This record gives sequence, structure tokens and C-alpha cells, in this order.
Amino acid sequence: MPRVERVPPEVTAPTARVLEQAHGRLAEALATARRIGLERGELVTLIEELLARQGGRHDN
Amino acid sequence: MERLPIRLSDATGVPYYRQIVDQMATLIRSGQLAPGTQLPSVRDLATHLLVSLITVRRAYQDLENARLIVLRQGFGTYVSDRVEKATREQALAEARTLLGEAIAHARRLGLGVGTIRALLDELLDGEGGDDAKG
Repeated sequence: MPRVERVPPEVTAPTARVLEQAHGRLAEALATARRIGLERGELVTLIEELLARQGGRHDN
Repeated sequence: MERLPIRLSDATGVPYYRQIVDQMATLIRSGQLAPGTQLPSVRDLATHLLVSLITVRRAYQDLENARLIVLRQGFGTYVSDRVEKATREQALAEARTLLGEAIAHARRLGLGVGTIRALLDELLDGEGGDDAKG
């Protein structure tokens, strides 16, 4: 009998919440960085630098 | 006196006094609150933000310790005259800390680097793609 893999709802449900949480915090950080005077180019460079430090896995 | 654009949130888990300190420091360093500007009294700000006098007093104390504001006995509380708009280095350092914490937070939530990059790209694109400040 073929095995049917099912994704339990508790695995998929938090994803949207998690994304929303992360999105909110990142948006807040970006908005503050803009308010204290950083320009888009500086933000892009900074983001690249910070993400490069995370290294390792490149996605979930 | 104009009301300060400070918003407190229960969702972050950050104590109210700390939220007040962070937001006022940003307003001062960004020049939105100019040197010499008179700030609301402890009582007025507490009433406006619906927090205790102790919370605002502690926030003002921290801001005074950071030399961002001065308490003039009998006259009120003012943005320090010695505060200059944040230098590029200070702004970069502050942004690095803020963004670093937000990215670390996203990683702790289980998001991968690619997903975080996509979220940040989306947010940057949502700004309109130019260098307009605001």
C-alpha cells in the first residue's frame, strides 16, 4: 500500500504566524534604520553583511 | 506642547520604560526632536501613554544618563543642547544592531537565510525603490 504523507495542521499553521512575526520585526528595524538616516544602498550592503554572517543553511 | 509619536506595545515583551527610551532616543538622534526642545512632564507623558509615573521617571532617568535630555529643576525637561544628529558611523552601528537582532530573531523562529532575504527584499521594494527619507 502506498504511504501517504500528511502534514499535520500544527506544522503548517504556525508558519504564517512565524512569517508575520519575523516580517514585523524586520520591518520595524528597517524603518528605524531609515529614520536615523541610512539610505537604501547602505541598507542593502548592511543586510548582505549580516546575512553572510549567518552563513550555513540558505533556506528552511 | 505637541504629543510625542511614541507607541507602546505589549507584544514585544520589552518593558515600557525601555520602549520609551528607545523611541525617544531615536527621535532625538534623528533630529526629529531638536536640541533644546521641551519635553512633556513626567505626569503628562504618563497620562498620554497610560503608564505609571515610575515608568516615565525611569525612562527619563536613563535618557538623562545617556546625556540625551536634561532635567532642569523647576523648569522642565529638555532635549540636550549637546546632542548632534547621529554621525554616519553611529547610525550605521545602531542600524547594524537593530537589523542584526531582527535577523537573529527570524533565525530563532526557524526561518532560513533565503526566506529572510526575501522578506527584506520585499520590504525594501515596498519603500518605492528610491532614496527618499521618511
